[in-house]
Amino acid sequence: MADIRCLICNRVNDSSAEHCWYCNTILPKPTGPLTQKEREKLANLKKKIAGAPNPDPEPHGDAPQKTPPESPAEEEVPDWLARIRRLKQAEDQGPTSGKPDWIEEEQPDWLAKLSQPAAEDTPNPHDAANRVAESKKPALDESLRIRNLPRETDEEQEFITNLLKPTPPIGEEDSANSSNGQLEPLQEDRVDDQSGQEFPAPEGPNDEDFLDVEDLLSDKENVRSDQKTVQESEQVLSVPTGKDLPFPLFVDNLPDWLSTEETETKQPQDTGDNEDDFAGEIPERKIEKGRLPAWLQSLRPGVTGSIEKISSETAQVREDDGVLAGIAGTLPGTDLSGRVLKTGDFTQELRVSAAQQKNAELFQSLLQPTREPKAVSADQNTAAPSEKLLRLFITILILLAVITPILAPGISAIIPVLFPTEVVNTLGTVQTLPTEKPVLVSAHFEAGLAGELNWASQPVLKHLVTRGVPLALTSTNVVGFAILQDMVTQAISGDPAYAKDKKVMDLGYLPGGAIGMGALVNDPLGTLPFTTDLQPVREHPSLGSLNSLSDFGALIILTDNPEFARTWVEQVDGGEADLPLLAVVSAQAAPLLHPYFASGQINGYVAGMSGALYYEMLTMRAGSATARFSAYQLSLLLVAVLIFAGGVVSLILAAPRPAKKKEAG
Amino acid sequence: MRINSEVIWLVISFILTLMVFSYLLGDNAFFRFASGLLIGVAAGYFTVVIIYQVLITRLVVPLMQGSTLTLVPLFLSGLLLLKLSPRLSQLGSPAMALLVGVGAAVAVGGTVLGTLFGQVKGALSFFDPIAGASGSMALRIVEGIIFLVGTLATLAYFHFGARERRKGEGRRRLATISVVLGKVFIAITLGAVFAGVLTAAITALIERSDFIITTIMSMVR
Repeated sequence: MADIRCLICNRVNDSSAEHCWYCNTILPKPTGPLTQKEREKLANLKKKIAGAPNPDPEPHGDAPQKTPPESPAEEEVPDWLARIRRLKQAEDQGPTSGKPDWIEEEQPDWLAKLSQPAAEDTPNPHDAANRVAESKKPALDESLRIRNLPRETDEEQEFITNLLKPTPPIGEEDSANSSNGQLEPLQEDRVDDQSGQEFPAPEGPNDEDFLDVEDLLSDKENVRSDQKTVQESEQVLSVPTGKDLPFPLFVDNLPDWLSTEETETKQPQDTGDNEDDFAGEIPERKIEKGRLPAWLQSLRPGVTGSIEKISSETAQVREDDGVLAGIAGTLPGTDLSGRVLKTGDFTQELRVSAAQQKNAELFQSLLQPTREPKAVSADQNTAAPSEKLLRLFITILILLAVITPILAPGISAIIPVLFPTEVVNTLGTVQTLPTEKPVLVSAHFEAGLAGELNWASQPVLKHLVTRGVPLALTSTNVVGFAILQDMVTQAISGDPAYAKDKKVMDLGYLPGGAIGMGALVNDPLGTLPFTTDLQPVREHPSLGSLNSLSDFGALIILTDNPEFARTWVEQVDGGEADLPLLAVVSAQAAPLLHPYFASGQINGYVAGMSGALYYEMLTMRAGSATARFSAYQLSLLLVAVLIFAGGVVSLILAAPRPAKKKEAG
Repeated sequence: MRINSEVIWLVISFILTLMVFSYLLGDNAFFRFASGLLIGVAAGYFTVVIIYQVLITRLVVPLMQGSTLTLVPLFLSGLLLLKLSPRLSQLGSPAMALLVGVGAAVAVGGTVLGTLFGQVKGALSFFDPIAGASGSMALRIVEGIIFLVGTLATLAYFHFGARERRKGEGRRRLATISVVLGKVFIAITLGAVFAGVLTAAITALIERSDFIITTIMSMVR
């Protein structure tokens, strides 16, 4: 017996072997003729494959026309096929007809029609063959059109015409083939082969083909029971190669993965390079190349790179540090140091109404400064030379106005003859104060105006000292507390009879501002329980009977701040205290303090150097105000003149110039 | 001249005064030194005064004398110190709220009772025949009218609640006159304040100039 070639590995095995020596696949065994049942089953399978409707009735216009392949050369026929053919020839030479009965019975209608004339013209086959073929050509075309197969080209028509020629008798064929010593392929094989090569479905095998194969696989039990018979019939049908078959012949002998994989991968081999042209019609089981949208295609990383290439590159990567150091094939980490994370852009447009826009602009205008802040240069060297000279000239003038009356006592001042009411009332109040009650002197001023307040307060303090009124000193700011002591000391220095240790009580600093003032008005001993010497106030001989603010003879306010005076007035006037309220203030606080005097809330006040002069004139005691009043008047006169002159010059410079306007016009 | 502490302080004061006056020639190191010295000495003196005249006299001594009521301000003061810590600053809020609340109450009460009622009463007193018995009644009435008109005109100037008039219609004549009068009174007031500030500055300059001249003359003698 001849050797058996494995359908899987295509290696030759001994005829007695049941399994392949190389791949252990069950080898087909040549057996006898098929039974009736086998023939029917095989015919049904063949009919299903051949009679599958074409889903695309119209051939693609742009589809490349496939030229029919040349008939397979005899040297390409495998040995086992040659043996099958020889067996076929031997059977044909038998007493029975040239074809097996099952082929005759199970042929499709169109194939039966095509083969009938050839059978009738057997007496003169070569002459009548072309004529019969031409006569049957319309029928074939009609059959192809019905089956939705693409119309053939000229070469195909020629091939079909040759195909439709009646098969010559075996004896003639053998004689013809014997001339060249080669076996002629069976006509049946040629037809099947050409049917597979000649009318390839442009879109590849349709779904029904795969369903049939599945049916076949599902009908595995039946096929297995008739395995032996099917093998024989397939050999008789002379399938060229296992790869060209639409389905494996011995599906039960193949592994599951191979039985399905071979079926699915068969069609792409047939379509060849035109895979892309028919990609849209590849059946679902085929893992087709995805046609993704452009935006999605651009997002796919490494589309062109194969997995093998990536794997090989990954295998060459070796970690240098970290927990995976020295291990090859690890996934390389991404360097995120230079990566900038950016939030997604929200393309949703912000809709702002006109009112909102207007409000936003208004709010923006409020937030923005009206003008750029300009740094005030304290360095006068940056000023213009003319401006610097003017400033120096004014300074010298004022200094001369101040110094000249001091150095020349002969310059007399204009002494006013009318005395203001507030000063007169102050003098009257101080004059009527009881000498046993202390006067509370509260100071609140800054060091810059201490000189003015010193000159303004000296007449009043000297008057109190002259009358022997005890003084209780306190201050609501620290600087005022320090300077107040010096003022009192200066006032007492002129009267050695006044006992400072007994009649002057330094109550110290009064914290709290308005709250402290209110507390002092309501509870003097609780607010100021100790003197600066840490002696209890109650133990002081002058303040032994002190229980409330009314026990003071008067309250004298020394301040340069009108707000401080107002607060004192409010606290005393709103409280239950009933005591005279006097004030010695700076000249800048006088305009704002006068309404409180006019309303009777303040008994009197002395404001600035002029007020001190009036008080000295009233007490008939010349002091610093009287001595320097001439300088005061002269300097004020000079300043007033300078202000007036500056205003006039400013008006002249700011006035429009008609001559220039005319020139410009 | 015998050198004593008064002379030393006199010389120091003279030099510091000259340093401050050197600003007339422009900003210089002497002026900055005198300014810095003044600020530093004032801060140091403030600290000493607070310690000796507030903490000791109002906290330490009462506690030593057994005053338990002093523990309340001590506790509140401790809560105020917690304001320095960002985490514990909330604990100082009650003490701060007490300070602000009491301060506002005292200020508002004093303003209403001392300024508002007092000024209204003072404006009416010009027309009181009994209160003005000591002077000329006609003069007091004229003075009172000027006060009243000035007050109303100033209030009218700061009144921004007038209705919007239609086109071509201006303010009422009375409102216009009141606004103009208000401007006049405000200008006079600001002028008086400016004159007071200028007078105070001139007085301070004269006082310091007198100090310098007196010191120089005493040194020369």
